[in-house]
Amino acid sequence: MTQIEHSDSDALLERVIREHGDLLDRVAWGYSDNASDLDDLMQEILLALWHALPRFRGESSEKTFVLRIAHNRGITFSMARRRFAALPDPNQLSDPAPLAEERIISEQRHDRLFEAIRALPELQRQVVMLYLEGIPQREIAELQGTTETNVGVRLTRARKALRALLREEES
Amino acid sequence: MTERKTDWERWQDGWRLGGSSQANVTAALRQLARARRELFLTWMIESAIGSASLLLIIFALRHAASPFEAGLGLAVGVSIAIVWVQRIIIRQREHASDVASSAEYLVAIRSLRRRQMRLAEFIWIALAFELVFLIPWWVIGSRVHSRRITNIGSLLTMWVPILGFAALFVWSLRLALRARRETREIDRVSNEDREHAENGPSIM
Repeated sequence: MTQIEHSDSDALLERVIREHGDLLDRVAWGYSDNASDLDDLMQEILLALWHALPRFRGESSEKTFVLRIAHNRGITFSMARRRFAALPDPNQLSDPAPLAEERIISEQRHDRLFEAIRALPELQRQVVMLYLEGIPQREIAELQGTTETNVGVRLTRARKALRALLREEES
Repeated sequence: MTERKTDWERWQDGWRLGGSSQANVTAALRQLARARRELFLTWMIESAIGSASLLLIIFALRHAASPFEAGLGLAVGVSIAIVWVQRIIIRQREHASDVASSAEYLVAIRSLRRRQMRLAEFIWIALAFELVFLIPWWVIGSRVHSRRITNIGSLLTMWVPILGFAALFVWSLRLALRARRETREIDRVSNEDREHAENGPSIM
């Protein structure tokens, strides 16, 4: 019986990984700034999912359920680890070669965005990642155990902070 | 309002620009397999340490010189069992809290970290009692069996347990320090969030 249950949860988790692997990767990068930490956090998230998935009864969407677990593990992981390195000066980023210019610029922007997100306070960071993932504010409020108004406040503060961190001009 | 949407939309594009799906999935499946191997290994080591500690006490009890010594040994055995069970309970509660909202999760994790600190304190007390019981047993045993401290018998019944106790002490100390650090961090996050919520309307 246990063997059957285990193989069921294995298959379930494998499907979830196939469907939400990218999302899990993005969340893990939001709480870790190097490959080694990312590996450790991903392991923690996957084990937590392995334990939790058999208890999923469809109270929310599967994506929300997965995000909830990933963010909960992420937040304690980042609290237990060191502080992240400061953002590099955008002026010191290397000039891309003309042929790969577009791709390198977008990769640099992507890296800087993740660095900026990691520099936010934990709950603001969480709300930003969920919002960028396309989760509505009402669901974010449920995920964070707070009100929609508070989510709005966190998003406004986070937007200002991200602009400052990315040194973008207020237009 | 339009500008705000533009900000988020632009960041959303950057956010979703990641590695290929297939690469992420393959890496995740590999990580899962490794995580499960490590989990199984940890479980094996923990079971081996728990069983060995209990067996050592049972073995020592058979040679107890007095009812007092036997009683003390029994108390130590029960303490080891309690530590073992507590550890399993903490792990299960941690898994149960994974599906809670962030706020509830942080409260649950804080309470579990407090529990870990108490568990570490309990281990230190149990270790002290264990030494109170085992030191006379070692001294008297060595005299009765005319053993030197370098004998194989002494190695198995004295030096191996001493090493085990030292390892347990170091582990519990690290557990307590980590739990204390995480508790402080959770308090910091909660206070930070409370301050933000209180100052919130002014920035809207």
